[in-house]
Amino acid sequence: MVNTHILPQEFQYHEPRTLAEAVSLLQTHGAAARILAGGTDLLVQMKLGKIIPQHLIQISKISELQFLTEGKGLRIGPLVVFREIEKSPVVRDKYTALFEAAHSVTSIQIRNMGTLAGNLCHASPASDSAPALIALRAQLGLFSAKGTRTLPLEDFYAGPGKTHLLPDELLAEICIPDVGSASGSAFLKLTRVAADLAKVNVAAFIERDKDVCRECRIVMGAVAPKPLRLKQTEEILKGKRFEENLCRLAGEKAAEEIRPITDIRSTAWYRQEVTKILVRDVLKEAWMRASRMPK
Amino acid sequence: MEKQSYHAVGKQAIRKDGFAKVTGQEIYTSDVILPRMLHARVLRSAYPHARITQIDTSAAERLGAVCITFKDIPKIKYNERLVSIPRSTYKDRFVLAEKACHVGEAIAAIAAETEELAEKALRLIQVEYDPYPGIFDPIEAMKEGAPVLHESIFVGDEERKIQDNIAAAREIREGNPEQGFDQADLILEEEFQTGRVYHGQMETKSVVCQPEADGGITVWTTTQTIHNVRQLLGHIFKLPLSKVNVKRITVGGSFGSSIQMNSVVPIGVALALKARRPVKLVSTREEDFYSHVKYPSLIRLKLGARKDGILTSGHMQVIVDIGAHNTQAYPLLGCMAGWWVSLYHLPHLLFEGKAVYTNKVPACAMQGFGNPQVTFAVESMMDMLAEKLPIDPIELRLKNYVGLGQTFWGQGPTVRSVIRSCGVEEMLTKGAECSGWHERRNKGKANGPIRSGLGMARGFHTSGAGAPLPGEAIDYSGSIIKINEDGSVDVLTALMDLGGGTLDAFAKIVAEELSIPVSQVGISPVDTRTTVYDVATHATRGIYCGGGAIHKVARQAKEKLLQTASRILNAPVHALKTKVVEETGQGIIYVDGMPDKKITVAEVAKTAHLNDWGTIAAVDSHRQVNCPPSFIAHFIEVEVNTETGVVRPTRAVLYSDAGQVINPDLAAGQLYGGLYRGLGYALFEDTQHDIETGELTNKGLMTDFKMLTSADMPERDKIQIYFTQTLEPTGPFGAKGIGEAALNPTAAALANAVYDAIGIRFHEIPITPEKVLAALKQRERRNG
Amino acid sequence: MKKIIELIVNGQKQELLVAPHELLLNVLRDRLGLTGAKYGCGIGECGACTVLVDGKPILACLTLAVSLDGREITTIEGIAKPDGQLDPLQEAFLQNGAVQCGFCTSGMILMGRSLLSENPNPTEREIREYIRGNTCRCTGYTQIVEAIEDCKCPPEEV
Repeated sequence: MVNTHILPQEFQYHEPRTLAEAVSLLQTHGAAARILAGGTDLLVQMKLGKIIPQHLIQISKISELQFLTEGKGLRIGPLVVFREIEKSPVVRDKYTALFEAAHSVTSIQIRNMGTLAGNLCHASPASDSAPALIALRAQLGLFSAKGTRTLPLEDFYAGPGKTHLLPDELLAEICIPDVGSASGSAFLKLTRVAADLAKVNVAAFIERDKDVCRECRIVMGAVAPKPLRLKQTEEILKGKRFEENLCRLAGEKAAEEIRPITDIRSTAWYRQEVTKILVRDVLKEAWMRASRMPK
Repeated sequence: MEKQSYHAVGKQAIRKDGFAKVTGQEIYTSDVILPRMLHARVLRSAYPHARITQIDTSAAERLGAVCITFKDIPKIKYNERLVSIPRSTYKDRFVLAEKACHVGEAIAAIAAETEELAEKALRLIQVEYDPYPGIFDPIEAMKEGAPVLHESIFVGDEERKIQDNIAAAREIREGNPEQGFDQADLILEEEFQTGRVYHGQMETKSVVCQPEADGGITVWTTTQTIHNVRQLLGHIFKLPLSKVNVKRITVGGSFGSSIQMNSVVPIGVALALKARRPVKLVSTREEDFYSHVKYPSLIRLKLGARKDGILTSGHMQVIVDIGAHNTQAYPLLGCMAGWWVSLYHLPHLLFEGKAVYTNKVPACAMQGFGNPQVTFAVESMMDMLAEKLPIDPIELRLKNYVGLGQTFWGQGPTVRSVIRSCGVEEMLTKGAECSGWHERRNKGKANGPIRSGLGMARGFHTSGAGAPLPGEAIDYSGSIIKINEDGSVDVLTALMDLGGGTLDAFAKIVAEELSIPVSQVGISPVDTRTTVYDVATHATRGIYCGGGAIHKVARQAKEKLLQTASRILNAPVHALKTKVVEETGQGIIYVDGMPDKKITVAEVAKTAHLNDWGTIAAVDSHRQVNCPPSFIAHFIEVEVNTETGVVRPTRAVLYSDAGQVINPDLAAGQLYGGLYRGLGYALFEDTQHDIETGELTNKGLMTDFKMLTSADMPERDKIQIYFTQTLEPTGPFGAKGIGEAALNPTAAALANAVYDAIGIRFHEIPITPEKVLAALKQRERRNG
Repeated sequence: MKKIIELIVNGQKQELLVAPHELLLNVLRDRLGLTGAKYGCGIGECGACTVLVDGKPILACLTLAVSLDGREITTIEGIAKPDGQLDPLQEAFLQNGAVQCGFCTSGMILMGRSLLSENPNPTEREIREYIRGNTCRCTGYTQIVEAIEDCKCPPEEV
């Protein structure tokens, strides 16, 4: 039986001061090392004995990793915590799905500690931030001693708990491209209680051209081994004149497109049923925000 | 009994442990730190059903750990719960198991210098198991050929063979049920099911044991009864009780999970005795999930009623899946019968109950002790009857409830008494008014996919288990009250306050009786060596039974106080009166009619001291001969989202008859808390076992045992609470209990509200969104 | 390998030799005797271990003590004034019956303190959302919410 009262593991603890130091450590220790920021996922996994790193590389002291800047789009550093995202007026107004996703994360305490980057790397299929970020076309900057590479978040996941991050790489930046003024996004999550992991969650991003839905991205969590972009469902709205009935049809299509399982939180059947509702509603909301029309 | 105005009873006061609790200074068992203390860890069975064939602790010992296995413990079979008399006590447990009957059962333990070392040492213990097939369904467990958990047990001192894994069974018959059903115009029969809920108390089960130089032990633990822990430890470790000292220490919630001595306690004691050093054993949350759970139930209920709504007969069959060990299954069945027959008159009835062993976490009492389960079934069926007859659901209840002047046997067939206070009429009629009950049909119910509904249910719980004759359950309390030389008072009682404010009620009772300010009454820190016996804080007995004893002893102390004052004032005792002077805050004793002939309580005590007359003190025990019902009614409004199946409680009216309320804010807290736990019980709390591995499907993690959060509960102005204007003549200052009553009717009220909202009745709780949506879709398909 | 760190706990500098795997919760409780923060679940679900770091609530059961070298930590023991006078929020908890078994109380008061510092005039909904990560099994939350509301500072009073 596990013991969550203590952290029953020994490891070497490193506190690099620069990004270069951090990736150098990663290069040296590779898969025996783990990056520590907030620790809300990593420490739990360590307590449960699921991850046993020999080295922990604490990156919280690296000031160059602490940034949340808006220029042409949004640049989010790996030390940015959910609470910062939640309190940012820019995120709330322009990248609303991300704001709503951040706000939905269980508790204030976890939101004060947990980083967006950490959440993405933990790669839970039920992540709240991933669907929102994928819907908003996020790109990841992965840094190693050998250099940088960029990867769309959409292509980051390999499976439950698995990403394409190489053992010597650090997720150094999350970039969201600028959103036009005729765009809107929304995020919905269904849970058991108000502080909870998702039974299902969904994020949608819509770009509007007068009354036509020019671009539509719909991403769901907790319904597949990784965050799932519903490409078939998106086609129902893409390029079409928007009407509410399309949202309903999209919901129906989404229920067919997802691959939910039955687990302790919910059943596959239920997830399919509520997907119809959540997808319908999130699209309506995203469209309304894209229209910025009074209700 | 007449309502009076009191200076302490019924008045708001800051709870005496409040300052310590809000400043982080209150010490709980898990906070106790002693010099040279070792940290313990328990090795727990990985299998649901297995014999331990080999256990090798040598590698752990080489690390410096002190180890114990089942070979090191006295081989005494016992029951952790000591409330019942010996002949009703079912014993099937050892301190450490040689045959594990559930995943998580303790089979060995170690103590080491640090927690990290203890963890390392634990993982070095080598165990070989011989696994047997496990059984996880109570119905299957009773069939021939099912794996057997316990071949035989001890009932008292007699060995008894176990047949068909039936741990206990009870049948109670009154009148002629078949004839009663013949007289009925309407008979309904339905099966109800309630979940296996984890108590969720915030402090995990813990113990600290200090071995004393004289061979005795001092123990701090999470308990609802220091004296019963003392008795069990004395029995198991063969120590005279005078050498076993269990300290009263604040506990972080219990809800019934510590009526029995927690399994970690004798383990901690055994380690301390072997190590000859203090040992601290704090359960991890995962271990706690594996150590106790609420009794689940399968209830088949049949009720017959006449056209006019009067019930004629009833038949209840209950199967309780008690898990691997019998904590209190036999009393449970008796109580379930008692709760049932005390809700409504049943001239003819048959109760058949069976408690069945399975390889799951052992079940034990949780707030209500079978009453929430029974009330869910009965109050659901009352609504079903009301609809079919048809008759207004409240009128149906008013016609049939057991009330004032009538005999009831809440705690089982041997505990009968007459009801002397009853607020049922008031709460049902006024509760209906406050909640908008009569308008519920007229209100627009549909708002898009949202349907709203209002449901009600009533219930009660006995205040303790008192009765005129000794019965199967021991129930008495005692106290020592002494007046200090400055007129302040020390109250020594072994009763635990589990958070509800029981000890503050005692302070108020003493203050009221002695006419001194509450601030002058101190509740002394105590232990088993400095208190007379108190059975436990359970069965909603704290204020009524415990407070009854306190009141009795306070009266005795007052008598002595007056005698002393009489000596000083040179007036006979019966010429003296007492009162509290508001301005000075002092209690005074004066000669009736002669306000100048007076003396403060402080002066009396000081004079007695300076004249070497002695300490003014009293000690006595008291058994209540009644267990008056604390009545309750819940009116709950819900919104059901017919697209997602989510049921949201939006409003509640809670009406309580607790007699004289002694702590107004804390009694309110019981009602709010009861609603909150009752809603969780009704909506999603449950635990399940994986039948392949025997493990809990939530792995013992709180991540997947969800309880309502602050954001899920209705807002302040949406919960209204009321107390009826009743007084219980046999209770201290007219008080009765409240604790367990506060939760009993919630599940039924919620299920009735859901029915009102969407016309679908759920007979099984928890009523999860998955179940609701499935039922809605099924109905859609049926209706074409 | 153990490391010497300095934690500033309730305004007092504490120099400690800690191993990297030592959790802040256990250092506070076992090494510094500050047992107000509690172990409730160990995995960040219940909030009983809440403490404030630089005024922000975090979970001590998921924090390595080494990672807070040089930081300011406030525990429940640091909320009352040095002379023992209670903070108004602590008073409010007592006056409103918001304390039953008391195990969640430390965390709840710290959350209330933190909320009111950020937002002196929260709505009931905002209070409920703010403390939703703190489990109380006894009170049903109503009186806790009332206690925090009692300490609101509506704009006209500022």
